[in-house]
Amino acid sequence: MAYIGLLSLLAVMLGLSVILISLNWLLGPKKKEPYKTYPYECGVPLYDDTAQTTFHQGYYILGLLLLLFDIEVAYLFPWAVVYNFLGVFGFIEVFLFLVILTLGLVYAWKKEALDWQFDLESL
Amino acid sequence: MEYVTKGAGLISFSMLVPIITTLLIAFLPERFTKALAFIGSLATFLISLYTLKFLDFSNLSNIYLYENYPIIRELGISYSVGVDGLSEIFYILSTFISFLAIAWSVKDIQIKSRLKEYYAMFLLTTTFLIGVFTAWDLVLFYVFYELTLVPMIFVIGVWGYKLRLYSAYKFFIYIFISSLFLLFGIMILSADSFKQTGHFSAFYPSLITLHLPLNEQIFLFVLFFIAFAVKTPLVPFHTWLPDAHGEAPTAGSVVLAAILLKMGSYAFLRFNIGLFPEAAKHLWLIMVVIGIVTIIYASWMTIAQNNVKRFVAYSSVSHMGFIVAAMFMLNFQGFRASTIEMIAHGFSSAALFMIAGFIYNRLHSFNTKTIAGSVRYMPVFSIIVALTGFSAMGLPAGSSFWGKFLTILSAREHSLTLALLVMVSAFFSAIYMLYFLRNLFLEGKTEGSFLIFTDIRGIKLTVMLSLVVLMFTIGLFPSLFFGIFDASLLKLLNIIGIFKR
Amino acid sequence: MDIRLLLGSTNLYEFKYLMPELSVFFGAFVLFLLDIVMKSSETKKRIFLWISIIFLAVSIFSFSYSRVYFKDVFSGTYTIDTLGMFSKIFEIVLTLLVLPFLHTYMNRKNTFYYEVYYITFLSLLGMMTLSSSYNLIVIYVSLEMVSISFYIMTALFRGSFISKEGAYKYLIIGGISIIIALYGAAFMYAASKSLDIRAIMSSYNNTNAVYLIVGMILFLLAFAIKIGIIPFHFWLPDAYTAAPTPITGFMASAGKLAFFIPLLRLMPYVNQHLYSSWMISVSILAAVTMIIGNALALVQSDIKRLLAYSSIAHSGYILSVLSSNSSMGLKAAIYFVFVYSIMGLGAFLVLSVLEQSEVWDNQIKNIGGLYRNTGFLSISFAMFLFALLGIPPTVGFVGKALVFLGLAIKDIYWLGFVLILATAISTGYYVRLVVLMFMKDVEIHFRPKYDILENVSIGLLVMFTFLLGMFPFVLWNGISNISEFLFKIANLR
Repeated sequence: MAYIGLLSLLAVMLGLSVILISLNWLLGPKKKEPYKTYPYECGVPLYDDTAQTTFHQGYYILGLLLLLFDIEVAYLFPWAVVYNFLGVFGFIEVFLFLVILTLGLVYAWKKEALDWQFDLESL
Repeated sequence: MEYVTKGAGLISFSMLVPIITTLLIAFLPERFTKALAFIGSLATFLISLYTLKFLDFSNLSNIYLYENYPIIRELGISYSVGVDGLSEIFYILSTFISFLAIAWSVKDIQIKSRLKEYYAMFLLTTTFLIGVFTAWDLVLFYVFYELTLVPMIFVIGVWGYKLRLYSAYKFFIYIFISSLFLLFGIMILSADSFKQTGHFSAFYPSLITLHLPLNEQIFLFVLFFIAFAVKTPLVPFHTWLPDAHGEAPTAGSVVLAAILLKMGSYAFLRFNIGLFPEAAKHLWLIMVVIGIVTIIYASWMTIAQNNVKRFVAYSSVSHMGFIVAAMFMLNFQGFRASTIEMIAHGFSSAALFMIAGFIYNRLHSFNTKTIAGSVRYMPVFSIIVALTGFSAMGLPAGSSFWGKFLTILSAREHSLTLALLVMVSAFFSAIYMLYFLRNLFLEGKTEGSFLIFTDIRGIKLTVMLSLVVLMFTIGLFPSLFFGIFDASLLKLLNIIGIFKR
Repeated sequence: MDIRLLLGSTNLYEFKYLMPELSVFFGAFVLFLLDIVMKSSETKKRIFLWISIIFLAVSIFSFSYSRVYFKDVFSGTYTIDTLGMFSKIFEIVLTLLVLPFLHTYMNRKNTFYYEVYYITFLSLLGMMTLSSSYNLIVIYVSLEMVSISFYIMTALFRGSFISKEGAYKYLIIGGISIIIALYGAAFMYAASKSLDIRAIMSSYNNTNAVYLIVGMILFLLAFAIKIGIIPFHFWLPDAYTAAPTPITGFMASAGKLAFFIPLLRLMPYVNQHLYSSWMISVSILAAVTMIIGNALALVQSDIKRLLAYSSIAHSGYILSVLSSNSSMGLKAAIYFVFVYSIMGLGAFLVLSVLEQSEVWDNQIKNIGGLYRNTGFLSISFAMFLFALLGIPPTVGFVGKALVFLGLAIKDIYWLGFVLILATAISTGYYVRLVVLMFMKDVEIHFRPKYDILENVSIGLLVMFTFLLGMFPFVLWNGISNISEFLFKIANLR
């Protein structure tokens, strides 16, 4: 009985989705238009015919590094909130955390992960 | 029973001598190999004869030359070796037969390649065989029992005849799998001793004093039986033997037949009957029946062979059937019969395999039709063949006579029908031996195509003559041998209690 | 939790018990900095190899710093005891033996990555902490550290698509296993409000029985995936075949050793309420693994894959004796885990020397007549194969005999017969390899290039295989004492 809210939410979710989609299927017009299924790209015609474009692999490694350093920044937020309370111990601890991640950045730098990867042989 | 340590270290030394010889062979140039192997195995044999000096012949149920070094003290596993009467006779037999096998190989023209490895394998086998027969710790026994397989698989597989790879696989895999049951049984026995006395123990004399309930004894008896039945071999677990013996080189077959089979039957006597007397008393009839079935089935198969080496191999199976049947009569004559037959069969099967190998060296064939009548033109050799054949079939004054006669006597103590059954099966060995002799002497062409073969001479002649002399010694003076192992057999009989039907 | 309280309870002086781990970590750090600072060259490769060896040697010598028998440090999250010390020493020695092979293998195959050295060090650090802890969080973090290092090392084969595929499979299924470990840990924490395995298993009562049992089984499951128990083994043959062979040897020996230790630590605490669920799951998993692992190995035509399946089967053997709830079972399990690492490593290392010749692909039909090409390698390979099979007097035999004893003492006869059947199946492929090596005519002619350090490593492993088999008391006394001790304190709780 304690979960009646959850169950009613589930029922409403399911019911609403089913009803809306079936109403669309029953009542909507079914005319084939050439550009109805065209992928959206801010009004500009597509560069690539396939809906999923391949992106350059240079972006891939940058994306990985972005992910890591973004998470690092995200961890800095809670620390920033309790900074006063933690004192020197907190400062040194997070400093070490940042140093380790910076070493990772230096590693990526030295291993040419930050260079623009145009050729495949350096993999 | 006491543990006499006078002269201790001699057995371990005699196990080391072949290993030292192997190392010398490995590092010295190839021309020294044969001489080194010959001297090494002769030295081991002489050491084993020297150990006779330390035995007190009036009290042979003690353990002499006893050494005991714990390996894992907590689990009761120790390196304990020593000889009593029964072990001593097998110890001398194994070193002697290994020496004869190496002596034969020195002049065997079939062994042309990889000489160093060949002799090394035989020397290692000698060490392991000594270990098997002198071990008093069950785990140590198992270690050496398994180890004898390793050089033998190489001997069969590298220097054997046409089907050697198949035979090597079959030999190793069959015997290894069956001995896993033995390992499991030993561990269960050790665990039982822990449950009863609080100590793990794999030491045979202390395991004898353990009294297990009948179900447990029968279960362990069956586990041990699986391993030893494959080794002995008993029908229907014998199928590895014709291939292994038939495809091994001569010296390999000699060592396999003369000693390795005896490991199985020795183990039956010591372990199955000694450790599980109640189970033996319950299952004796089944074991005797299996033994008799082995004799008859193997004899039939023997007669059907057209390959003389396989012929001798199957005849070995039939002799081993006799040994097991005699043993499980569970009386003194039966034990005596099986032990003397083990020794006699050791000599006669060695001699028969050497005969087959010699004929192959001359005629390059094992086919009975090809070699028919070949012996007539080698007079000295033909004498040896005839003497071996008659002795193996159980003629009085021959080696197998006492085995068969005492078996019939021991069967008579149970029932007349059993004795008649044993007598009939003893008849079969005469049948196949007469086949063998007829094939070699009386058949075949009489033209002079065999006149070009030289007779047996030199080392091979000495080896075979010594075997023939020993066979007749068993036949004519059995008390020499009985004197050595009777005391141990009496001790085993005491464990069972006097068994009368 | 007040930060000052947290600070005050940290015992910095207890780091002296962690000297081996610290030296390994420091070594990893130094190698990492060197990699960043130095330019790629032949001298750099040699310097890496020798610095790694020096740090590992320092680590072994620092064990004499902490002579304690049993101590909980860092408020119970870390335990220093003989089992931990033995496994740490074994892991370091195994790493030492693998390092020369990494160097020559990567050179010959033109796939040299300096990362291998410090990633190996970090995985070693993870293994060492995994072997020394009863705390769920520490186990989780160490498991991750070891696994991630293994994922990376599996992929380090330049240009080989198979290598990346194997690493990918390892990654995905390893990820699943770590999540299951976390789920099990959550259940165990919910059952007992404690993160220490000892307290968790001792806190059995009727209300939390279900959660505790489910947590324990899930925890067992996570480690079962890691050690390759059928039916969770699907990543193992692919990952082992895909990785460079010295890395495979490292994973199969030290990795498996480390992954088993938490199970071995868990076992004494399985009290009689939990025993039935523990025993049923462990014994059935072990029986299935033993038989199917060996049966699958029998049909392989690639030697490396065959060795991978044989390592699956050996995990089954070790797991089977864990189902016997006795100190004898624990002793047998610990002993067999240690000796399997020696034998397994030896087999893979011989294979890695052979692979360095261009004409060698790992197919069984090409192994014929290897004895003609190279006596030393074929004899040592035969020794390792005989050890894996269980021929006396090698360590493999002692391990199997102890497994039989451990099963016999609790009357679990059916598992003993399954073990016999499994060994019977394994005889087929081990004997086939030995027979083909020595008794067939030569299939391919080549001369393996000899490197002195590699030969020393293989020779040492062969020596250990035989010496520890003939004189098992070297390891046995320590193992026996610690097992009795662990069982005693488990029963006191």
